[in-house]
Amino acid sequence: MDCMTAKGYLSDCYDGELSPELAMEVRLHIDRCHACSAELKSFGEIARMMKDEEQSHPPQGLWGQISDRLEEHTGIRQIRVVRMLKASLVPVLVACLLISVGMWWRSRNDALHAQSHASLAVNMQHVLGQFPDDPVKVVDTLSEEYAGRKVSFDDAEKLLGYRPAAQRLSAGGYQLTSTHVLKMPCCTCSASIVSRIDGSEFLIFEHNEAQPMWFGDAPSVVAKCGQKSCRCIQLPKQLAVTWLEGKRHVTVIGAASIDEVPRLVAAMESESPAG
Amino acid sequence: MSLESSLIKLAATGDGDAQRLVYESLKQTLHCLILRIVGPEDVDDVTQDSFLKIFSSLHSFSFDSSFSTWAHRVAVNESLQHLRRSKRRPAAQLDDTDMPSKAHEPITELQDLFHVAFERIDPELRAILHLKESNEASYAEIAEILGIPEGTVGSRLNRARRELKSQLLALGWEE
Repeated sequence: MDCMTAKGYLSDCYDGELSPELAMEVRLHIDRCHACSAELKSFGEIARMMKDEEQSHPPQGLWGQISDRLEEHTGIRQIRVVRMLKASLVPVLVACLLISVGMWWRSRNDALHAQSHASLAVNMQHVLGQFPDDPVKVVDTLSEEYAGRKVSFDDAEKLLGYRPAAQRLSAGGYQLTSTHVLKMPCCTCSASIVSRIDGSEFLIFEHNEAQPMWFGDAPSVVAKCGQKSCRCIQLPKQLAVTWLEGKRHVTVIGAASIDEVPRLVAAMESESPAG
Repeated sequence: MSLESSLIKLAATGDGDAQRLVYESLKQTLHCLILRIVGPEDVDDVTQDSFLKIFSSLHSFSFDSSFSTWAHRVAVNESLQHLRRSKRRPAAQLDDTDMPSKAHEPITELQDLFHVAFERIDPELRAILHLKESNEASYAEIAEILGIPEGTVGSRLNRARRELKSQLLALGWEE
């Protein structure tokens, strides 16, 4: 292979995109050509400089600006839709009012229960905000507040009546750091800290009742993940996900990305429907 | 249906929460890419325009390719269109007096030197280099994002690397 031909293939060779035969031919040329060898070396130096560049971060308020512009964009269309629906809205509003009155009556009986849940919600929103910086502190704080204690999986099973699904994650390449059992107002639940191969950590709660109040009005969507419906919640510094696993709810705080969610759900899936 | 496709379909209906989650999953990578193409002055505006374009065109996403690849393509097109609209030369050529070499002082820091050299090469070459070196995209993904045949990615990268090296050497870089 001559120099001109080899030069044409240098990037493909550097990026490992050549067939083994062609790569071998280019390699043979590079071994005896100083100019091509130096060119290939400089590709590596350029790559290193690019990787050394600091990551840029979009400014905090950027989503707000995008969201405002999206609303402006769709506003005109929405006005049209509202005009069309206006005529049929009155009976719907009456029905909503009746339902609301019924719900108010029922809610009076649940007032005490709700009060303790509301206080838990405030606590959770506060402690979860600290999670990415100090996971251990978050679990310690919750343990102090809700008579928690660090346990083995066997002890957790005795206290909870089920074995925490977090245990199954070790087969999925994750490592369990600790499990605590907490006596929350909603129920006795488990809180496990799990670490990834890169050392980053996330938190898994397993609880008997759904806890939407933990996340306040953070944006969330429900999407299918295999056979399960997962609610993904975008918290200020992290992604949370919650789904029903057997008879209990699993909530992950600090999922690395949307891509990690199906892996976590599959890894914690129980073999029996009872979970 | 995968979690990602459910999320995209929901975002396409205008669901604000789904759109927020899509934004959160892409913001970092698209912001970096756009910064490399248009420079620091306009990066936030172009990022904003790119996300508006993504959300307004979501209905046309066919799920034949990866969503991330499609979104990157939108961001590259928005960035290049922005540069064409503003008819600006790359920042380093606009006014060399703004650069560290202002008082004819040599650029000593390697990263400063790299910034100046990088801004001096063609925006499309900046895009392809960023996709390969920072995003570690495959040739097939780069071809799809830039809308070029896969067979020309290697030669385009050759050109990008050589031009960057040549600018670095012109600025006094010692290999």
